[in-house]
Amino acid sequence: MVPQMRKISGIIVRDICIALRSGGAWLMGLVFFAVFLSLSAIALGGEFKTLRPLAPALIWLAVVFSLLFSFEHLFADDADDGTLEHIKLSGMSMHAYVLAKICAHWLLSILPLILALPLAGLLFDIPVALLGGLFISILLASPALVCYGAFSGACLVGFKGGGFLLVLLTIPLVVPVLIFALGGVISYADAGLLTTEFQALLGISLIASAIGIPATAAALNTITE
Amino acid sequence: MIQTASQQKTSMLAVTNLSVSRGERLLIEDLSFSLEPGDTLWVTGSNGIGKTTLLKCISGLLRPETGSICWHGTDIYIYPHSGTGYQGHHDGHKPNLTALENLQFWQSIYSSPVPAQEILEKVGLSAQMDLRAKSLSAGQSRRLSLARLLMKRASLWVLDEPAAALDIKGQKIIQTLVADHVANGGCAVIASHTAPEKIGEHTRVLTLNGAADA
Repeated sequence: MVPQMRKISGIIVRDICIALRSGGAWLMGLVFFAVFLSLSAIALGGEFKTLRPLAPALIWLAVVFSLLFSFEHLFADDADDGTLEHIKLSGMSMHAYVLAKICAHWLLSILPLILALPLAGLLFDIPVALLGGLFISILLASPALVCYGAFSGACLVGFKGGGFLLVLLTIPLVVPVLIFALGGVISYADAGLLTTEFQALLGISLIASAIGIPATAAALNTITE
Repeated sequence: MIQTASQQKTSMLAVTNLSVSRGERLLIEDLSFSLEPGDTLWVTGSNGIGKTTLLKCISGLLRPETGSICWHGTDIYIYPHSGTGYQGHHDGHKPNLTALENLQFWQSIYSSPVPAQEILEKVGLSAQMDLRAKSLSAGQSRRLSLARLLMKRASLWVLDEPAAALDIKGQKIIQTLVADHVANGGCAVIASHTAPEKIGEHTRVLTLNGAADA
């Protein structure tokens, strides 16, 4: 167990290190998030009265869109440069490898969005309770989002222009997450954490992780053969 | 069931009746050979004849149509093992990490106790250890791949064109490393366009002619 954890942490540290040295490419999701929200606020007239009720939906759309385009290279780089072959031959479980890649991706793509939420709250003048709901909904839904994206990314390794296909593959899976997340954000102010929507979101994330990680590992095993 | 002494003795690597296709084309047909500790097998043949395919099968990266590949008597596709060190056409280095960081990453994956600096010194890259992999020349990058192989401490080395892009010094380093490896009880399968060289006591040559010609 301990050697596996060391291998997982090795991959996470390596991916973060590579991202930090890649000239800011890992921040593209955050930049997209900020630009999407700013332009939406301008396009909708810029009045808090108009913006406030639309804010949760806009923020969630910004999260989904900024994430969708980040999965194309999740495994493609490792497959192209031979790393995936060496990982397979190392005896490391492909499940552990996928878990490590997913954790690194969460830290690099979703954590910055969560940290930027208070700024988005200021932009739309969102009440603290609603902001709390958004925070919890993203936190609960993020494992499902990352697992769906990772699976689509693994299936499309080696496809030229796979980014567009990846979006098409992932969108239908994201729709239930979006519905429950927005329902949860609205209910959170009255019912707190124990809303049905948040429980459903947690369930979706657990199921997505339980199915998504082995499915992604299987897809990657097929690619290396 | 009690096994006799002769049944208990199994080869380190045994390839039996191997047939491999790529698409419609049958590349290797009914190939059998075995390797014992100390053996070196050179695989030669023209471009596209199936050298890389054979090496990938031996490594466990490619599943053959028929036949079996056994590692110490067990089928590698039923019980995958980590005793193979494979050096293919892709180096597997991350361009934005230094040579040392790249090797330290593999050290964590292989849970190897051997210090990365020591291995880089062995392959003649101690002066380049703080250079990013993208700044290394093709030959230096190849030597970094060899360093990963040493880090893994695998018994079977499967090397696909290991001397490609290497200068005389680099080729000498490879020869020395492979000779040391087989002398210490390992074995090596090397695909090469260049004329095979005798490494260790038991050097053999396998020339692929193509399944259609066989």
